[in-house]
Amino acid sequence: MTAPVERVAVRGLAAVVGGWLATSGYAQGLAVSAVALGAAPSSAAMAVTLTACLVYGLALLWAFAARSVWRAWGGVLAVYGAGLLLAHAVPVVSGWLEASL
Amino acid sequence: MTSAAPSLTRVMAWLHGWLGVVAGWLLFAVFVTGTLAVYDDEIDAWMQPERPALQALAHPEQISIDRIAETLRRDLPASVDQWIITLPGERRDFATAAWFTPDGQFQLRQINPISGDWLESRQTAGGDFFFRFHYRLSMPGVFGKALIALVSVVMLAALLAGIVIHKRFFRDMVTFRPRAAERRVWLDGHLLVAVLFLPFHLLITYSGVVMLSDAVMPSGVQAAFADKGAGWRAGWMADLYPQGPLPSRAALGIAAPLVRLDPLLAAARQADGGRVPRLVIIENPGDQAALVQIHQSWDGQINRDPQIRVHDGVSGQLLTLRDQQRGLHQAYTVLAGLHRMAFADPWLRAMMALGGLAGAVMIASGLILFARKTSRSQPDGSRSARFVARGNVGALAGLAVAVLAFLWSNRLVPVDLPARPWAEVGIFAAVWLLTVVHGCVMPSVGRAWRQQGAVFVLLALGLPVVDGISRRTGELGGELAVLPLVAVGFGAVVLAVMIGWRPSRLAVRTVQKGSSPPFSVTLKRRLFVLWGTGGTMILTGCLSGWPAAQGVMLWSLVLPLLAVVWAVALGLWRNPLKRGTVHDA
Repeated sequence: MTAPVERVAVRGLAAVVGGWLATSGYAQGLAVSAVALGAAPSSAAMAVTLTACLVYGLALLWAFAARSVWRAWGGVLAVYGAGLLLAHAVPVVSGWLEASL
Repeated sequence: MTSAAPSLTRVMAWLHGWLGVVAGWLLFAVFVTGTLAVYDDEIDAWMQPERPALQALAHPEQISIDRIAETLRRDLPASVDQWIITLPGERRDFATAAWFTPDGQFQLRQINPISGDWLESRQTAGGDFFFRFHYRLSMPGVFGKALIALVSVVMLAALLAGIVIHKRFFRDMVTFRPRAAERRVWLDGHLLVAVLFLPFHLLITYSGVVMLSDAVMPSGVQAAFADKGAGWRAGWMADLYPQGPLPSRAALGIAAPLVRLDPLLAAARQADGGRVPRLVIIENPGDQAALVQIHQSWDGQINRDPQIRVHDGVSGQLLTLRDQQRGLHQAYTVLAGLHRMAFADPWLRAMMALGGLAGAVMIASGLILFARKTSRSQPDGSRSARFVARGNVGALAGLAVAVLAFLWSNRLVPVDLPARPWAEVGIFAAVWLLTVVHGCVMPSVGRAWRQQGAVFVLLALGLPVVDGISRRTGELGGELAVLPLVAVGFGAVVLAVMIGWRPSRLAVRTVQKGSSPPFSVTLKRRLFVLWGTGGTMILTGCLSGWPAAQGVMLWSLVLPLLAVVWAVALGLWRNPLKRGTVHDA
C-alpha cells in the first residue's frame, strides 16, 4: 500500500493527537458517568486507567484504517464529543432520576 | 486512498511495518533496558563490589531499626521531618535510609541493617539506571514517561495489526528455515519469536501502558475527583482504601523521645508469618507528634499492596491497620506486579528476561526486515530504506555497545570522582551517540555493522578482564562473576556469527531436498567458538568461585538458550513442516 506523504501525515496526526483527544473524552465520559451512577471515584478512575490505552490503540488503528482522512478525523472527534456529552449529561440525568424517584 | 481502498489486511500490513519503524528504535531500547532491569539489584551488587555480603535475612531477629534510627538521629539535621527506611529483601541484603533535605533535595544512603552503620561504597548509577531508562528514559518530569507511553501504545497497536494480518499462527511456531534466502530467514525469525511470545508481549505492553497512563492521561482521574480540585491525586489515594487515608500529623515543636522501634518491628514480623517488614517511615522523629508506619514485605506477592501498621511514635500505640484495597485497584496492582515480577523466583525472572530478549529480537528483526524489504521493493534505492538501514546500526548494535561501555565505565571511572553516577550515564549516552553517528556516516552499512559488532565483542570479552584487574582483595565473590560471564556469552555468540556468517552466505540460494549441510571450514570455526565460550565460562567461573547458587540458576537457563542458538546457527534445527526445497523470492 502506498499513500502520499501528506495524507500519511494527516492520518498520523489523527492517530496521535486525535487518538489522545478521543481517549481523553472517553476517560472523562466513563469516569464521570460511573461516579454519577454510584461507583466509588477510585474505582471509576481505575476503570479508566485499565481501559484508556486500549481506546488509544484502537483509535490509532482507526486513523489509518478509515477509508478517508475525513472519516479518520471524524471518528476520533466523534468519540471525543460523545465522551464529553456523557460527562455532562449523565450527572444531570442521574440527578433528575434521583429527584423524581 | 479515497477510492479503490485496499483491503483491511493490506492496510494493517502497511501499518504494522510503519508503526514498527516509527517506534521500533525506542521500543528496542525499552525492551533491552527492561530486560536488564529484571536484574537491577544484581547489577547494583556488581557495580558496588566494595559492599560486604551481610546475609541479613538469615538472622532477621538481628535487624535493628533502633540502631538505624540512632545513626539517623546522630547524623541528619534536626529539621529533617521524615525518615524513609527500606529494610532488606530477598534480592538485597542491606537497608537504605532516605530523606528530604530542608531545600527539598532527595537523599539516599545505604546502611547496615544489623549494626546501623553507614555502608561506604562507590557512587554509581547502578542497575537502577536501566530501570529508570526503561520507563522514563532517565529523564525528570513527565516527558520521558509520555514518550514511553506513546511508543508503548504504538507497540500495542502494532501487535494488534500483526494479529490481524497473521494467518498461520501454529505453523509459524515451528517454522524456521536458517538456510533459506536471507529475507525469509529474517521473516521466519521475526514470526517465530512474535508468535511464541505473543501472550507475554501483549501482557507486558498492556500492563506497561496502564502503569504509565495516570501520568499521561490523567483526565479520567481528574474528572472522577473533580470536586477535589488541584488535590485530585491525594483524593484518589485516600479513596483507594475503604478504611480511609493514613493518619498524618503536623509537628508540634514539643520534643519527645521516639518509642523503641524494635518491639514494633518484631510484632509486625510475627503478624506476617516471620517475614521482615520492607519499609518503615518515621514522621516527625523526636517530636510529640511522631508517627511510625511499618509496611509489610511484598516479596513473593504479585499484588504489591502491603498491609500497613501505623503507630504513635511516642507511646507505640497502634493507630491504624490498613489493608484491602478496593477491588478494581487490586486489578491494577496485580497488573503492575506482573509487569515488575518482583514476586518471581529466579527461574521465573529468568523466563521474564528471556521474554524481554525475545521482544528485543522481534523488534530488531522487524526493523532489519523492513529495511531490506523496502530496498528490494524499490530497487532504485528509497530514502526511507536507507534511513532505516543506517539508523538500525546505531539503534540496535550501538545500544548494546553503549550498555557494555556503561559497565566498563563503572570499573574505569575513578571511585572518588564527584558526581560519578553522571559520568557513567554520560559515557553511556556519548557512546550511543557516537555509534549512531558512525552508522550514519560510514559508506557501507554492512561495514558499520561489522565494526560495531567487533567493538561489542571486544568489550564483552574484555569485561571479565577489566573486572578482575579493578577488583581489590576481598571483593571477589561467586555472584559477582555472573554478569561478566553473561557478557562473555553474548560476545561469543556475536563473534561466532561474525566469523561464520560471511556476507557471501547472505546470497539468495535454495536447499535441495535431501541434501545435508556441508561440514565446512565455517562450521569448524563456529564449533571452535562454541567450545571456546564454554571453556571461558568454566575457567572464569572456577577462578572466581563459581558455581554459586545464583550462577547455576542463571546459566541453567542461558546455556540451553545458547544451545538453541547454536542449533539454529548450525542448521541442526530444521523445519519439520518444510523439509524439502525452500522457495523464496
